[in-house]
Order: sequence, then structure tokens, then C-alpha cells
Amino acid sequence: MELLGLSPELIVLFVSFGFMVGVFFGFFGMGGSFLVTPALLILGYPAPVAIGSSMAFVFGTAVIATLKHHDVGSVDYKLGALMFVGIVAGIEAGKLLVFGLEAIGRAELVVGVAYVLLLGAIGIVFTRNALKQDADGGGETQADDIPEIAKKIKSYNIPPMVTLTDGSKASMWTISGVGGGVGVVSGFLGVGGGFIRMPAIYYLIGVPLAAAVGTSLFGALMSGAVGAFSYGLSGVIDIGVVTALLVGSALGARIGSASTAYVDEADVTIYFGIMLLMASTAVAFGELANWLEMPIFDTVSFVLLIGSSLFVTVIILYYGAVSVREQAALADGTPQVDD
Amino acid sequence: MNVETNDFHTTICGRGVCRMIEFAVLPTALQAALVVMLVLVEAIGLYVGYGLLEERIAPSVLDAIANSS
Repeated sequence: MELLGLSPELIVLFVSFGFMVGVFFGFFGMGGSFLVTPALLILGYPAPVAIGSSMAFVFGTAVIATLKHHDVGSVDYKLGALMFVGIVAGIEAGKLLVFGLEAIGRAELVVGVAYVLLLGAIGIVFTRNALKQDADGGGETQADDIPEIAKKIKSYNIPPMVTLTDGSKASMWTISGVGGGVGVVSGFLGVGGGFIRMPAIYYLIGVPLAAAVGTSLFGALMSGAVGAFSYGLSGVIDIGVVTALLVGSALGARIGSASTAYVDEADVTIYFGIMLLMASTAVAFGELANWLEMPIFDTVSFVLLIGSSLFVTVIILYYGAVSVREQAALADGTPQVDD
Repeated sequence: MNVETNDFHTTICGRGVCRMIEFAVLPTALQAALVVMLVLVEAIGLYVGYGLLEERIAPSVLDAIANSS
């Protein structure tokens, strides 16, 4: 019996994986979409289907996340709209690249290798930052702070200049460059690109951190919509996969964002970094399985990706449950012993 | 209609993994727009639905976790 064109086992798998991805998205504000394309590639979906379906999933998840940020007023819609042209052009360029590679039979390999490098690089950055934070004892960034590099870029008045919602000015060239650059990555890898767009909006355009997060999510919404439409034109979106993933991720995102009130991000960031490194290794095993024609590597790859995601999800939920119990005990005046 | 795109579509669907909504009578652009609209409606529905569920059961779930040993 099939539902949404998927077997019951696949539905359970995609809903569960969507849940884990949603927890990461809700908790870290990123980390969702760049696990979906590799998972679909490992499951044997062709690169354009994996990327197209992932883009549609990014769109749905970004709609949900943007609705949450809209409620607290942290979305600069004007800046998001100004990035739109760059995003569209970038996604089209990325998509052309994927289809060009598919035509010569190299799409899975190139996208897979790009993911190995990307996940590995982000994993190293996260793990290193987590270790550094442990050594330094932390350090908070104020929501209204603007980094020095952004101030310097803003000091170059290259016309046309536009006024942003917060009253500051930015060059249309910088805005289009950020939109276009992230668009290429989104269109090529099927990701929302939040892990690049958010820092780019913060460091290059100079939008305060809170608004950068909300605006980046709005950018992911546009990237996802444009990407889903663009890949949809070629008929390569598996709506059953997207729906099953969304059912899980919408719930996971709520639990993940609620967990931020209880869990200190610094406690779990290192696990997230390690998970990304394991995901990078998983995709590498997937590529080896194709290259050496050894299906056992596919199994290793799948277990690594799902296992590491499950591990970090359990860690977040565990820390959340412990914190809820501690807070309840404090409210009751009962002494609590740390474990 | 773009012949290249349709060829590609056939190739991908031929592997048995393509399950995009198929309305043969509708233009490709409209089919793609329908997919985007469907995902949008699903996302809003899930946001609202889980929001209502959270309002109803979150306090009792938190109580249950707080009281568990």
C-alpha cells in the first residue's frame, strides 16, 4: 500500500528525518536543508530530483520559520525584496549548472563532492567555534551590533544606494551580489543557503543580527519558491517526499525553537559540528559506493547520516527535558543535583 | 513547450522516482506554480495546525516532563 507515492517505510523515514531536520532548523536557525539533498542522493534519487525536492522543502520550511519571525517583527521585507533579482539569476545559474552536469552524467558526482566539502567546512567551523567558546568561556554578540567590516563596506557609496528599513544605506551592488551569490549555491545544491546568507547580510550589508536572521529566512523563502518553481518546470519535484518531510519538520521546528528557551546553544553546538562532519563522511561513503560499486558503503553512508542526525536530536531533547525538570524543581524550591 | 525539458522530465520519471503533480492539460509553468502553491498551503496548514496542537498539549507535556523522575 502506498500513500503519496511512497511505501509506509519511506513515509516513516521521511517524516522522522523531517522531524530531526526541523529540530535543527528551529534550534540553530539553520542546518535543515543541507542534510536533505545528501539524504535523497544516498537513497538513490537522481541529483535534479534530490535538489528540486529539497528546494520545495526549503520553501515550505522557510514559510513556517518566516511566519514565526514575522510575529516578532524581525524581518526586513524591503531588503529581502531587493535581493530577489539576484536570487532569481543565481538560482537559474545554479540550475543550469546541475542540468549541464546531468547531461554529461556527472551531476551526482559533482554535487556529492561539493556537499562533502561544504558539510566538512561548516562542520569544522562549528566544532572549532564550540571548542573556542569553551576555552574562552563564551561571549555574547549584541543584537544591534554591526561588525567593523560591514561599516567599512557601507562607507563605500557605490550608486545606486538604497535606504533599508532600519534607516541605514547600502549599495544595490552589494545587495544584488549577496542575493546572486547565495542564489547560485541554492540552485546548485538545493539548499536555503541560510548558513551563507545570514552571515553575508550581517557582515556585508550590515544589518543587525536579529534582523539578519529573520531577513535571511525570508530570503530562503524566496530562494525556495523560485527554486521549486524553476525545478518544477522540469517536473523533477517529488511532492510525496516534500510533504512527508514537511509534516515532520513543522513539528520538529516548533520543538526545536521551544528548546532554545531551555537549552544553552553552546552546550550542543559541538555535537552539531560533529554531526556535520559525519554527514560529510556519509556523503563521501555514498560517492565511494558509486565509484567502487560496493553497496555496503551506501549502507554505511545512510546509517552515518541518519544516526548522527538522530544522536544530535536526542541530545537537544535530553538537555531540554533536564532543563525543564531543573526549572520546575527550582520553582518548587527543591534542591537539584547536577548530573 | 521546451523539448529539452520534456526529454529530461521523461528520463527522470522513467527511473520511477518522479511524482510531481501531473495535469497533462495544463501548461508546464502552471503545473510548477501549482506545486509551489501546494507546498505553501501545506506549510501554512501545518504551521496553524501544530500551533493549535501546541497550545492545547504543550503545558501538559511540560508538566509531565517536570514531574518525571
